[in-house]
Amino acid sequence: MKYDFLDTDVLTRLGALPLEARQPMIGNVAGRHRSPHRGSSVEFAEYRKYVQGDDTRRLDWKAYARSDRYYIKEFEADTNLRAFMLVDSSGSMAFASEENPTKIEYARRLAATLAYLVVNQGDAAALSCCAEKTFIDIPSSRRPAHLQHIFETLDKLEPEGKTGLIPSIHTLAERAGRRSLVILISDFFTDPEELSDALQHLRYRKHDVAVFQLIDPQEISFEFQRPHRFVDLEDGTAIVAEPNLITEEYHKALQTFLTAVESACHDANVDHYLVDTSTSYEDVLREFLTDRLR
Amino acid sequence: MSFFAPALLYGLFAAAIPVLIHLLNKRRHRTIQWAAMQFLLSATQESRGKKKLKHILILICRTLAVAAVIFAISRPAVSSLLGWSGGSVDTVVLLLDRSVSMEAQEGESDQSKREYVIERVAKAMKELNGARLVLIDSATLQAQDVPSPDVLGEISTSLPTSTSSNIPALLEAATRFIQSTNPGRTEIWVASDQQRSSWAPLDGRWNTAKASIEELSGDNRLRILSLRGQPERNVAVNIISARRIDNELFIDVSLSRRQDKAPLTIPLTFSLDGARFAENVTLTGQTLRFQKRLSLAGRESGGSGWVEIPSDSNSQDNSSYFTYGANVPTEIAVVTTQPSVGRFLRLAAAPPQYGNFKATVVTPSQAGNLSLPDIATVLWQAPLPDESSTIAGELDRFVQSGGTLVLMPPLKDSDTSFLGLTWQSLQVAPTKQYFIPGDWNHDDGPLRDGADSTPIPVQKLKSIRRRGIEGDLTALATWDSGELLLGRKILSQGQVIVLSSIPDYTWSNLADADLLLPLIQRVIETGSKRLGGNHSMIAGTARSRPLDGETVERLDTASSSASIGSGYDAGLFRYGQRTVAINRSADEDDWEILSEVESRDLLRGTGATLFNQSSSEDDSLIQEVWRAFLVACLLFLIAEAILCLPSKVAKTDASNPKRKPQIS
Repeated sequence: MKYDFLDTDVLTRLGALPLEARQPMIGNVAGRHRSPHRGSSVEFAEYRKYVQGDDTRRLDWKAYARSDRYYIKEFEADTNLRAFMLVDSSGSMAFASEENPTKIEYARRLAATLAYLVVNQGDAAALSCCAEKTFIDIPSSRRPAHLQHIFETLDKLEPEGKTGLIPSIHTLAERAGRRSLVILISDFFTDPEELSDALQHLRYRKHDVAVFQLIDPQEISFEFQRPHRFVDLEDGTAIVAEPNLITEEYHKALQTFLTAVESACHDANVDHYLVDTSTSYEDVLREFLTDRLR
Repeated sequence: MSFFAPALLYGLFAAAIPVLIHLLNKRRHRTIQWAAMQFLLSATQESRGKKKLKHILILICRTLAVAAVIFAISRPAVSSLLGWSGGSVDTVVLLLDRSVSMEAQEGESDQSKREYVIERVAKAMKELNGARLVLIDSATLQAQDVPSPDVLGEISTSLPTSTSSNIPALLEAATRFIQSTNPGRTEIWVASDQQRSSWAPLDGRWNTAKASIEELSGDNRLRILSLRGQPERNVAVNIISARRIDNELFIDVSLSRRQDKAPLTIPLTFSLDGARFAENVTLTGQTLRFQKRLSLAGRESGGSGWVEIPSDSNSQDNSSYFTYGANVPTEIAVVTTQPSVGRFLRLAAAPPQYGNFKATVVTPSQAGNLSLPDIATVLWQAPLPDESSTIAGELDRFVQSGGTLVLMPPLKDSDTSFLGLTWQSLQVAPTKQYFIPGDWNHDDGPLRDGADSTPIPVQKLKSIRRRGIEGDLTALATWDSGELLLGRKILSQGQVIVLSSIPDYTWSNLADADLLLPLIQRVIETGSKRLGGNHSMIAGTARSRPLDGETVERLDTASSSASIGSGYDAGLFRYGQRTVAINRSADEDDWEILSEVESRDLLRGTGATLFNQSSSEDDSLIQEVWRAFLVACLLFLIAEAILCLPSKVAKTDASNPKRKPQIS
């Protein structure tokens, strides 16, 4: 089945770039990602002194000949990546200015493409969609059929209601179990302090976290020619305002928020990508993937 | 404030249009679904206070601009007299100067100042929506309610007169009225040309008048409607004196004008007992005085007449009237104990072959035999009569009825008082020195200059003995030491003249007649005015009114005024059996006007406001002020435009990427 949010050309181009974890993963299956454990592998890592109980088959006799001391060879142990994607499906994700995709559409593209790349390179992908009253959770799997399930879920996803992002992040931090790659896709229109706590929770759980903060160009510029009646997408609250009279204050509040989110990500050692929905998602993902190769 | 087109004020409902548009606009906003609500709410809350205030100010400016336009097209008017507070007055007390000078026509106007100010006041009163108008005029000093401003110019107490005015007395009358009737919030309007003789800034009554005004409550206001403009072409004629000497009538005439302009030939018309004749005189300078001698041959009884000049810009000073008595001797009484003094005084009073005078010399003890009602002048050179004596009472009545009493010092000291006067002790000049005159009044009194401005040779007087006198006197001449030489005290219709030396060569050289003769003759002339048929009065005085029961008939045709019997109009009248000549006061020919600075100084402390009115300018007590409202509208629109200007910082936010939130 064909999905609008999947572009095969983009998948092809991005498929050449592996999705790497920034920290060693813990996995049961041998994969291409570093494991925090030392084990049998083809790649030499380092020497360490022999202690009673080590496997004598790993003694390096050449090192003994050179030094009259017993050393054990350590090798890198490769394991698989589990990528957990959390997509915000609150009402605010439904916003789009003219000629730009809605934030949820953009999130679909990011999440679907990432899921494809992860499964395609033999890793596992999981998807969660959250709002105040909804939480869709698709556990991780490496199977291609599982990918379809993810795509179907994303296709049917409709943003509504208030955000439930923070509790969902906390839940994910616990449920993700072993060290995993956690990708958060949202506008993050929530309390930056609570977000910081949630990100710290993920960090405490030793997850590799990346944040894609989506924002529409009009939400940034706040350019309107006349007074408007603004209706909240999440709770329906309405307010009449004359934008040209409050632009300065709006920008100030928005910048404060963006800075707070960025600081929260920085403090939690989280990769933060502020994404203008008018930009190409391919470029965003390319940047993301390339950053992880360094 | 009033409006010339009040119906247009219904348009004020249009001032609600900006508010309605604002309310409608609030409902006509485009609706947009918005995600970043938290920043919008934060921005709105932060700017709510000042932005809301700004919006309110903009709305107010728009509303006021519309209202100002509606007011402007309704042609608002305020009284320049009342200012913007007009309309909040209960009573206006109008003090109207009805003196001769108020009949002058200013510039090219054909309205007299009195008519002009009446018209303006009537218009202003209509702006006051029913305020009460009370008129107090300068002639009667009586308060009279005016039922409507429209009739102000028609009531008798607003018509012209030949009287003088006394402004302090008018103000006192006004304050008495206000204090006695308590007419609410009251304004006193003084309509006057501020002639110095009327305002008399040195008059002691100003202290009383100002004190009375200051005692009034703060709700009362004093406004001076000053009509200080001067007529361009006005000549005044005045008969200074008219006296019969045997079969000739000597008339001293004065012509005067305000400015010293080119020589002016003026045709004078004389009327003597109905016979008219004319002659031209040329006025060079400001004043011309001359004497006209008319033959009275065949006229043994008294008569009357007038002199007039052509009509000019003040009709009230173009004629002057006279009467003369029968050809009977004018009697003078000389009371003295000194034969030499008596002789000289008799010669001075009844010069031989000069006029028809009869001087009788008596001693003080014989004075009781005098028939004082038939005597023009009493020359008293003796100790003052005791006030309890009969002769003192008769002399008092004599003076009160118009007679002239001349007092000269007694030889011996006397502390007797009479009519408030007491002789002081004798003063003797040092050896080989004299008392000489210092200054004297050249315009008034027995030592005034002649009709042709020739001065009396007062400076020839030398005295070695003199007496001062205690009492309330007006000095007409002083010695060089400053002491009184000649003084006057006015008592009712007569006067007392005090001379501090005597025509005795042990006292002075008064007997030389250079000074004594004109002095005595002039005194006699004054005293004789009440005798026989010679009745000359000043308009507005008590003497100018007929006595009870006297019929009144107007005899002259010089004046167009139909008013008779009030004593306020100049003319020839028959009161019973008497023929009287009523003239304006000579003060009315003194055109000196109080300056604005002097006016303000005089009225300081009264809270008076001075309004300069001019009938020659097209100004009004009522002014249209629509321009002020249009200016106000313009200012409101400018303020609204300034408030609507977008903030510079907000405008650059959209274009300045450094001000926008940064996207990596």
